[in-house]
Amino acid sequence: MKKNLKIILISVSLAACISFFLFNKTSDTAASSQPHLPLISLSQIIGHRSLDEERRGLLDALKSAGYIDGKTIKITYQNAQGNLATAAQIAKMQAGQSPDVMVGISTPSAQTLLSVATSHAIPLVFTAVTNPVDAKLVNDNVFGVSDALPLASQIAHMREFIPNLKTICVIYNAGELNSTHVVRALNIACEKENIVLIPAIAAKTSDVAAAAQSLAGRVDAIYVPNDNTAVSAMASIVQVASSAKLPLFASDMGSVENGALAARGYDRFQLGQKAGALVVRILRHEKIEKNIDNSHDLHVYVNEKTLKMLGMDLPKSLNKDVILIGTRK
Amino acid sequence: MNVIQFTGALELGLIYSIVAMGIYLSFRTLQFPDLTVDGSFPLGAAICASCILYGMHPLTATLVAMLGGALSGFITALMATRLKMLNLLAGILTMIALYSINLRIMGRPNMALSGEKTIFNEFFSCFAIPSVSTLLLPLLIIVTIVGLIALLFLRTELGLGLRAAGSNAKMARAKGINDQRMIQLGLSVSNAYVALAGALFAQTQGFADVSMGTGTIVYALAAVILGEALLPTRTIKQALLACVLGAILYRFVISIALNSNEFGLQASDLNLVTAVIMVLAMQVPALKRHFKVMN
Repeated sequence: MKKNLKIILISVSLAACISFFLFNKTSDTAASSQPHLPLISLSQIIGHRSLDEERRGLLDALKSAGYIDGKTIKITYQNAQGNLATAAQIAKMQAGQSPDVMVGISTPSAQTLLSVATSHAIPLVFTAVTNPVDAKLVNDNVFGVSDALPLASQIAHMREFIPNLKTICVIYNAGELNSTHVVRALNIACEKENIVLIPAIAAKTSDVAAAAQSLAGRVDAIYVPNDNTAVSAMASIVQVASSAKLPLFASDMGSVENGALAARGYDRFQLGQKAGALVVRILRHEKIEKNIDNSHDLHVYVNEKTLKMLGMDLPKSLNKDVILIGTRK
Repeated sequence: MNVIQFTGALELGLIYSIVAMGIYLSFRTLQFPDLTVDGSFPLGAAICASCILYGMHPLTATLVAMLGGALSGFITALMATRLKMLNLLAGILTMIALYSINLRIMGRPNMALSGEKTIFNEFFSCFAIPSVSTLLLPLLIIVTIVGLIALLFLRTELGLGLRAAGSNAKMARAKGINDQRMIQLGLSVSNAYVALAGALFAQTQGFADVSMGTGTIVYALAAVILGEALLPTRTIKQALLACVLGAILYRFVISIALNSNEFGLQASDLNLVTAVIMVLAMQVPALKRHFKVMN
């Protein structure tokens, strides 16, 4: 028994040493930097092209408003590497640094921040969230940018390329709140237009190719919403689409760069800038009229190479405001 | 590390210590590598969140979640014992099936609970430590109760049979113990624990998400092994204590890794730093032996 006690004592003192060292470390850095720099903490669920783009836009907006990291502002950034428990731990850690504004990039990150932000009365800004109402991110203290796409315009956009569109397949992960929300709305829009919508579900990026292959020959076009899983595996969908000569429509510029035919969507960088502008307004104590911003400029992106490969011409109605993109090498 | 991060790591560690105790039951006591855990953790969260939103009392919702977890463990055990499937495969199959079932239960991939009644604001509100943490004491109480139940259960005749079935199935059978029944019982209890942790996670974080189970088994195993490496585990009491301390220490390892940004590391280095700190922590027993020899 005595021996056990000794071992427990050793481990407890070890833990105490480590935490003492860390407590010291943070208080040192806090003392050395100027005391009045406002602190912005960013929490992101996973490293991912669209989310990174939003973060870049946000930092850009802060910079152009005169908030430069290390000089006029302090910015901390944490990435949960896809793990929700880590995201929860990040939220606690960031709340403890008592930031002026907390920023959640993606739905789960914003959700983990919500409870700590509310209990510590820290304003929360979110971005890359499609349905803030379903995610319960509606609160006087919460501001953000919603990226829900008007879906009727998505169908009209596909009709520009394929006038007699009858069946569309949508590839998505049923485990993502953003996507299920989009698909539900798309289903209603398709019914109105007499279009058959066939869902192909992939739970992991490695399942996406099989989901795409299951559709070849049965549909007129493939549509990919802002789905993290499907967009991450865009290259494998492009492969299936090009071998089956199927037009592939996406919702973001990055997918078109990766070889999708066209997308009518938002510029992620711009959305990030809008979230950044919200942060700036909070820092300047300006009033924000609308807590959730969901009206953004839509852009049409078309991949020239894919267009040629499919033997299609650019629809005349689009000619003016289209942004042409060549496939990246 | 600041106070809120410190208590945050403690809270999460306490929640995951319940998973670690469940894993101890299946992996260590029954020698059954049960991968159901990755599915039963979000199952607990999904059932609990759905029941609360349906208007059920949070305590009942938590108990229903445990029942659901027990059922999932029982199914894995049935596949392993009755259908003679490889233990690993039985767990994997239940785990992947639970992904779809969780989506069915919630009707969507993510269910928000913020503003709803939870056991913490309904039941345990008197145990809040003002301005530090509203969750720490309630979680400590829950973990103590759950740990005591596990301890007392493993000391009963039934629990003794369970341990016997795990350490030597042939011998247990010779003594008249139905080892298959024991596996069914053990996995049910183990997954009820895991689902309880999932239900607590959903109630403390304010949402349930279908993807929240990924990696649960890995983190829980890391916690169990860390605890075993640092603490003695000769008796059941010590082993359960090691599970709790291991889970808490593992959360502190992640906290330290999160703070490593200040040493010029990137946010994306998090998992690597966690792994390196774990390797260092595992060297502590060797160091201890070394000093013992020197003395």
